[in-house]
Amino acid sequence: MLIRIDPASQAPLFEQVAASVRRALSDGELAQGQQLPPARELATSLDINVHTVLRAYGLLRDEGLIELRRRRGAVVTGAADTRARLNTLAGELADEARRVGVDLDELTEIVKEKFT
Amino acid sequence: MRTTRLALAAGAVPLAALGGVWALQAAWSARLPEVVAIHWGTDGPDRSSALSTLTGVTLGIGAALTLGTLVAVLVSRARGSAVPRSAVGFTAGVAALPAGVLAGSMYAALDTTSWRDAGSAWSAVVWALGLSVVAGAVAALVAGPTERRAPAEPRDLPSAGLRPGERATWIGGGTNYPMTFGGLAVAGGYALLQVSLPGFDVMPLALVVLVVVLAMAATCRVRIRVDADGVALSLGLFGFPHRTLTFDEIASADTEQLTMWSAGGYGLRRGVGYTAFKVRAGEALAVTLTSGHVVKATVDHADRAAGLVNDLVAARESA
Repeated sequence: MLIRIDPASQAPLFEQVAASVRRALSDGELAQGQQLPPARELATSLDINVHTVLRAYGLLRDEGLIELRRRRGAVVTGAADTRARLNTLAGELADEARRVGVDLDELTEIVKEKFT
Repeated sequence: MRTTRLALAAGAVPLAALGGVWALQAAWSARLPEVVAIHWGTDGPDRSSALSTLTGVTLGIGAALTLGTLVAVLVSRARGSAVPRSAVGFTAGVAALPAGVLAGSMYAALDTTSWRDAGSAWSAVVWALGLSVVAGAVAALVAGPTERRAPAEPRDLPSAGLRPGERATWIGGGTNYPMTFGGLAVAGGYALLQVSLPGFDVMPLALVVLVVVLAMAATCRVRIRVDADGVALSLGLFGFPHRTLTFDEIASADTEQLTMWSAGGYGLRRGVGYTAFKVRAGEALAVTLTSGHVVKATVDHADRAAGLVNDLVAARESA
């Protein structure tokens, strides 16, 4: 799994780590039941604080992409690939909306219309 | 044509050895006792078996090994592997070994009335190994020369698209699941035997089981971490042996397809110009060092690992 961060980016580091994991999930590089690297190892490799990685893992857990287990660490859940793809597409949609000047309310209305 | 030769070498040659020993037994039947020696100690033969049982067991094992060898060779061939002549010869020789064991026991028992009067153990060993070596050599001859592959077309090295200022790490690996679950099955089967057969002689088999399980555990997985410090590789559940390649010694990285026969087997393999951390066939990361030596590791998504290695090498060179 490739995790990349850009310290010069305005996006928080934990969000960049989470985005890399989402990308790996949607690309099929991670499958259900697979373990993510231990937070300490990932933090050392990327030269960032371990709490940054833990925060990213917490975010992914809240999104339902991973489970955090006491002995096995961070494990990919069954629904992760679908959720990760949705998250990735939603991110791209939000970026495109910002680029063309559509605000959040307007974008929400568009999504609601399409959903119904 | 090559497939036919491989099938003959891997299947027909060991089968011919098994059939030959079967025919030999028929020819010697009047000169053989019903019970023959199967093990020799310092004072001569010390264990025996009914000839019919020994025949069934050895030829049965030989037939199973032959079938396994034949399937492995044909599957590898179907997957486009250049099955090496040496590997075919070796596996055919192993498949013929049980027939050699039977022939050796029979030869030692010729013209005797009791298994205790069996001849020298050396003659039995010479028969067993001799038949195996001859079958292996014949199989290698029948298989013909190993096909030489055309050199791969030059192509651009993979890249992960790392931008200046970005930091990245790639953590991944490869696992041989049949080997992992095979180790568990061996341990579970042994435990089941131990529970169901109270009079079972524990120690000799326990040591064999322990060695098999440890060997499988030591070679069932390879793990790699690529980051700014270099490429760290480790083998097996124990993470040993391990090796770290720094970017000072890395020239480039690419992917390679390894076959079941590549590098001569599984585990940590060393050959002329390469070291391989191999746990399965299939895609592998191939890191070329500045010395020209190539370090290979059978990991999933090796192209991404290779891409990051190349990007980090380029970043180091431009710094």
